[in-house]
Amino acid sequence: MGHLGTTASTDLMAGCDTLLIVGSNDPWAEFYPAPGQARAVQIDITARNIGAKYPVEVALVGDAADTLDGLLPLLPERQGWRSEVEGFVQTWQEAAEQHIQQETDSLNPQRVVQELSTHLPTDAQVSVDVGSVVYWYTRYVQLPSGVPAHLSSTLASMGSAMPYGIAAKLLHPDRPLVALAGDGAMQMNGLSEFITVAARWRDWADPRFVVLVLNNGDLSEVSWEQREMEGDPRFPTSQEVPAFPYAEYAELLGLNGIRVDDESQVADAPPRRRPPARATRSRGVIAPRIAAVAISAFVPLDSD
Amino acid sequence: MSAPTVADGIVERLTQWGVGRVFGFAGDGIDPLLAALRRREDEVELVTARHEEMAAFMATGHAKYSGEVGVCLVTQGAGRDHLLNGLYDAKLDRKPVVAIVGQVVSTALGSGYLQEVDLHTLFKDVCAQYVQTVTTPDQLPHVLDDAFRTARATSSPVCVIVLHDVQKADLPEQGQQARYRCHDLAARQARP
Repeated sequence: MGHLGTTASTDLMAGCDTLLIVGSNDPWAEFYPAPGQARAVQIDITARNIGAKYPVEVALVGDAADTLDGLLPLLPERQGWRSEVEGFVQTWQEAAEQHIQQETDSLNPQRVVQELSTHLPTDAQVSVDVGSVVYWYTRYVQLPSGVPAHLSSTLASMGSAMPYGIAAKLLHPDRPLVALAGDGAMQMNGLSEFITVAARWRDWADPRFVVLVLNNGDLSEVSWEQREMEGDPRFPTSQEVPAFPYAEYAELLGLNGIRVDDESQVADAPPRRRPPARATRSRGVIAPRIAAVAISAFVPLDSD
Repeated sequence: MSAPTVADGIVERLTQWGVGRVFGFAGDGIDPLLAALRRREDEVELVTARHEEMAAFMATGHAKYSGEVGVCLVTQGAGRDHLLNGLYDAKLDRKPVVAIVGQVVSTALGSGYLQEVDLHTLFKDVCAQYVQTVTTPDQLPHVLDDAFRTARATSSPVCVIVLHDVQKADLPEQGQQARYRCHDLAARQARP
């Protein structure tokens, strides 16, 4: 929903006459249905969240799963609306497929993330950074059941992927960890915490700690916002992320760094096999005026 | 072996709260706590980050992936300032995190000692549910207990500040906690 959402979520919010908010306190108030458009019911375990973002007629304070169990038998099925929603979803899926297949000068990050999604092990844990990578995560990553994923959601602070990934790995060293980050976040602090990974991976039953670095040399989300929200041109001085050899850095730390430069390498994604563990990085232009995208993933060389 | 310190008591209480891992970064303001962690290294793992902000993010991440309380430990110097952003992550996503922070010795408080800042003011917003300074050994374990209870009950970050000399002080005997002494004091004051 909102900046990170899909056309389906936009259509849903624009077309609904009833809104059920379940355990959500989504801060982007401007993307809820228009005031007066929908009658709303909200379920939240925290009473202070009820009505905080959209006026609600019925407040249900309590556990979301239990409340839904009680609520669902009372809801009549509305066939007409359901088919409309299915149409919204189909429209989005067709658009998403076009985005994924879009030919770019080099690598298309949407295709890379979608491809990564198809390779996620069923016992993986996922950590995500903040920036344009969140758009690709929300739109193209299908988490297998039981695979957790976290990011700095409400604070939306850059720099969450590596420390979250390390915390998750320490909790479950026998599960592969997949982190998604941009080059801006990696340079802010992710590169430093790679040293922590390099110092600890030998202690882990499954040493796979795969980091996908989308490296386009640009603070993309803010570059988009400069154009889309302000109507300003991208300001290169503020937006440029200096070039850095992520894969070589991984090798320097005794990890495996692989740079992926072209589409043919994308399907050879790192988390699928074990051992030998693999890693990836790539570089390419995703659109005119948007700089190159690169991908890095790192795992220890001798992980078996 | 020398008598257990307040720092030893804090680490012992952490184990009783089920804490097996503390995310942190060293500093002279928490050396007695680090020494206590060294003495219990087989029970509580100190995971060092490369920067205190990352330690706080790790504690928040720990809370998110485990559903339990995350714990981070930093010194009274610049480290405590670095901690803030990671604690705000916990606050805005409503996750329980206990931050344990050092502070200068009690006799130096308010003197403008090296690295000294007003920690209650610093943490007042991010740890709005609970921020407390341990100025005397008798405040333990109830301050730590209240911090954990508050973090869990309100799903938010809390802060326990421990003066350097208090960390090093002898651990009071069990049952001599301040809340009971408050009763003693009240009883004494009530006497004619």
